[in-house]
Amino acid sequence: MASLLLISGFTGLILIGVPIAFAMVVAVAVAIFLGGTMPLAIIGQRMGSGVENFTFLAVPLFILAGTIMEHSGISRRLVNLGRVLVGHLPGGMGQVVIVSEIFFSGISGASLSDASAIGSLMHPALRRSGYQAGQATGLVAAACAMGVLIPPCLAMVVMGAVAGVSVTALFIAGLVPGLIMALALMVLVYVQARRGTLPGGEAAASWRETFVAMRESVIPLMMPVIIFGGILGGIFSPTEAAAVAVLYALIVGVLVYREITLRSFYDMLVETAKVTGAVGVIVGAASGFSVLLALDGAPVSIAAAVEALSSDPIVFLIVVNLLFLLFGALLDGIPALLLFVPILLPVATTLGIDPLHFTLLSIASLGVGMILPPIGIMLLVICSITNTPIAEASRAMMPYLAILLVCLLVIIAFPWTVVALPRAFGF
Amino acid sequence: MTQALDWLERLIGFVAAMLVLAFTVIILVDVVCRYWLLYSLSWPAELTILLFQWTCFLGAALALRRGAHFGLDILVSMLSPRQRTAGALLSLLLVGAANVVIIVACVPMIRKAQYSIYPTLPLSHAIVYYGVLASAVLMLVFTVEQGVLRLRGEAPRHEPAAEGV
Repeated sequence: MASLLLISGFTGLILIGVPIAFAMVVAVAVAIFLGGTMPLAIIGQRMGSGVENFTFLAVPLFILAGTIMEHSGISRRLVNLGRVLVGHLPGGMGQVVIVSEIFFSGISGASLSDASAIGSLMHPALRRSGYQAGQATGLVAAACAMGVLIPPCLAMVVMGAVAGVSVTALFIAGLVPGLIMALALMVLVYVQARRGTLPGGEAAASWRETFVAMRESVIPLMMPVIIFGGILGGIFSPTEAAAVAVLYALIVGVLVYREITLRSFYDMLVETAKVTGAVGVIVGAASGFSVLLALDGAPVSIAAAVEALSSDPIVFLIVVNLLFLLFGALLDGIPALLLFVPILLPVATTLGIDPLHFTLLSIASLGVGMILPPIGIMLLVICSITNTPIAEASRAMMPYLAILLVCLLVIIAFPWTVVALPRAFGF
Repeated sequence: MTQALDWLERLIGFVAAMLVLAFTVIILVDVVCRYWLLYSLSWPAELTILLFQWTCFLGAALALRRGAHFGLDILVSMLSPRQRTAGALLSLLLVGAANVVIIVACVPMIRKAQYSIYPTLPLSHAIVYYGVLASAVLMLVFTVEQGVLRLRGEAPRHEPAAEGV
């Protein structure tokens, strides 16, 4: 009964525009008041202790490192590297967008800031090479949805802490599915270009151009090497790796590229604190929300309902994916994960699904959900940056969305795509 | 009033920025001590988590003044301007109520935690709940400010920037 009240109250409140964190607090307070068995102090306790986890510190640190790198002029260098590597393939600049997004995501952990950076940089280049506005926007959005799986990723850090799954294992687990999605998108762009619906390739880069582009990209691409080399080498934890990434980005931005000033660094620190606060208050509120749901036996009831429907893990994963696709579009990535993963993970475990597989799949489907027309937050951001009508971008994006959904089905059907690499590293 | 609150926002931003800088430096110092100086420090883990918690609390207040809290505005954006103002006021009322709940819920936690001391820091665990309390009070103040601006028919200062998203 309390669960029903919580969920319906929360849904009603966010529909009338109450921010997610406060909607949770009000719903929990009403449920406690009507239930009469729990002290109100649990809200204060969870708001304080919900973020008491060393792993969570990686969130502001990855945001800060990514922001510093993006303000250091690395975008142009990475896109140039993508251009010399794949620009000559059919689809030309479309292929460059996908490969550049892989590089971008390997440096920045925040998918929305990636979308802003790559959208503003690549959209004019796509248009110049003959892409229609909708095609260009749709392709950038699809590439950004794929980029969510390329580590480091904020959703992976938060989920690692909330679901009790190793963040390092999640980072490694994202690589194969991310590359599957990237490859699928590249093949689709290739086929569309061959059929004449997309422009052909650019002129192939000379050896000299390729060498220069690679040399200019060494410094930004050292970032993932430091992060993963340090973590996998046992030198530091993901949180410590994020702090080292901040230091590296700062050295690059201040001493090498000389594009970061004291004032701009201060603004980045304030911006990081603001985003951390917006995420942190949801973590605290969601923690109280989940406790109440768990005490009311919601996970058990959901498990029973799912088992009554089908005890097949694949059916469960498909249903959960549909749920995350929808909530990824509605609620943005991390809030939706915080709300549902603690409820659904125990059910998944009961059905014999590997927690790593389940958690990564949730992140993947949320990534795709974030570009789901017409309300996906990432799609809206990219449309806003590129000044493209949502309807036009949505129509052009349909083939890319379809291929990403097929990739999700592949990841559901073949768990080894997620777990094989982490297992090889001993997780 | 707005000027005083602008000043308060800048102060919160400064403190929160210094907290982010502080925990970043402490984590780096810890890594250097552990791997290069072969000397393990006991206090960084607890101190960095505490600084991070306070960053979240102050950052949440900053996010509220700048309209950066995650929310859903699809239905609200479909309303007429007049209905939208009424909806915004209702939403602000509920945000205010949530903050009052947090303040009330924090007081017993402060009392309960005041004699519990961190193992590696000379501080009481109540400092965390003082942070939650400060955050909720600041958010309540900013909510009241936004409510007053709405009632006067003025848009909150963050709105033009938020329109892009």
